[in-house]
Amino acid sequence: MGSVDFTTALGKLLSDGEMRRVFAQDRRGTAQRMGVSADDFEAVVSLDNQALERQANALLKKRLSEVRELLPLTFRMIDDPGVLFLNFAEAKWPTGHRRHAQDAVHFCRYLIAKKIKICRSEYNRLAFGLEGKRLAIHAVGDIPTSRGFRFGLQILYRRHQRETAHFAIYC
Amino acid sequence: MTWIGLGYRHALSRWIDSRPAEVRCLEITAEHFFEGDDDRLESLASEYPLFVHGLGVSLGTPGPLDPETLQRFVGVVKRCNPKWVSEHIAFTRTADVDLGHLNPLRPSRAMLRTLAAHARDLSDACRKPVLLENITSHLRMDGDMSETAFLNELCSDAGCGLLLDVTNLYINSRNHGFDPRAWLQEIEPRHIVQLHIVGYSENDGHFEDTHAEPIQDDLLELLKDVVSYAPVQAIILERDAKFENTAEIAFELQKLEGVVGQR
Repeated sequence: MGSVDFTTALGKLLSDGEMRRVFAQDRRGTAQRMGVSADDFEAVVSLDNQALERQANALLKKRLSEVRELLPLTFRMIDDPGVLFLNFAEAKWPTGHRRHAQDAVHFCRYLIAKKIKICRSEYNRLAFGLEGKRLAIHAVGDIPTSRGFRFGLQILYRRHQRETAHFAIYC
Repeated sequence: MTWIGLGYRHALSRWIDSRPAEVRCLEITAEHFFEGDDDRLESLASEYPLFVHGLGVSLGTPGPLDPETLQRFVGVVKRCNPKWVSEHIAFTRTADVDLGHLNPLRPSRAMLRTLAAHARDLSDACRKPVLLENITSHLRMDGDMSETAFLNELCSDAGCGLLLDVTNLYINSRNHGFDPRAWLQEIEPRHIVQLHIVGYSENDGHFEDTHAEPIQDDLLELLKDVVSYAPVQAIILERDAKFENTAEIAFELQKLEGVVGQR
């Protein structure tokens, strides 16, 4: 027996789909390999598989909903954004109070790596908000306007430590 | 007197600035102000009685509270001087992973000690009374205590109150098949200080807390029973979506006033 408590073990199971699949087939063996303590062992092995899966899916759906709000243009541009996000999300869990913006930026990088077209101006703005830079200038072809997307220079700057702003010069 | 109010969301700021008569207090989400926005916070504090509500202190995580999160939380409390602060009976992170959202705790003696100690730590750091909120979960947790005994002992041991989310109680009762009124009768009424309520959603036979719907009639009936049972000091409507229809939100708040008026 190990020293892993119930809450830590539940966190592992909720964040790792592969571990849940293995757990469903061999509860005691998985709990032992996780190092669950003697005090919490029976409570962990008696977790309901279906409920565990529903809870894990609920966590991913909440992340999806936050990221969808931060990337409305990118979500409109790509096919099956929800499926793509769920494929991305379980392998990478963001941390801290800026986790939703981090999640959105990491998802964009995942899409870029897969050569899926995203809204660059939307990504630039979110990434700038997370970085410490004072100024960034990007030439982009998808600055949103009331009459659709336009080419131009996207200028992002930091007013104060925590407050960013942006404007565009159109070509 | 019972305050009736709203969870403050930036999308509602213009409407709230118009000082709608239905909004008599506001609940601030601490994490929404971790990045600053001090002027806004101070302006709200000067206009309304405030409560500060946390999402990510993760009181159920074994070990000490995360110092950075606690420091930021205390910073928000200092800037707006709320009547009390609240957090969830839940964990959002462990030593290995930040799950980012609320997950249930096992009602056990060991967890009771962890949670009570963390609630006292939060209260000491903020120098404010602490309320703890029941969550909704797909997992039904069995421990060495019933959930209601756990909550009563938690409030007594930690010297805190209960923020009873009536919607979460309703949702759990439907998903896990128990009587919410029998559950309520097992809670000592003096512990119940504040309520949360918002309409529930139903998806494939499962009830969910999407925080997007108007309050349904059966939920309102349960709220009436809670208000008759306990000396509730504040009721917060907890909407996180469909902000464009402020008339509907105002009507929801009027319904809550009506419930309190009938007490």
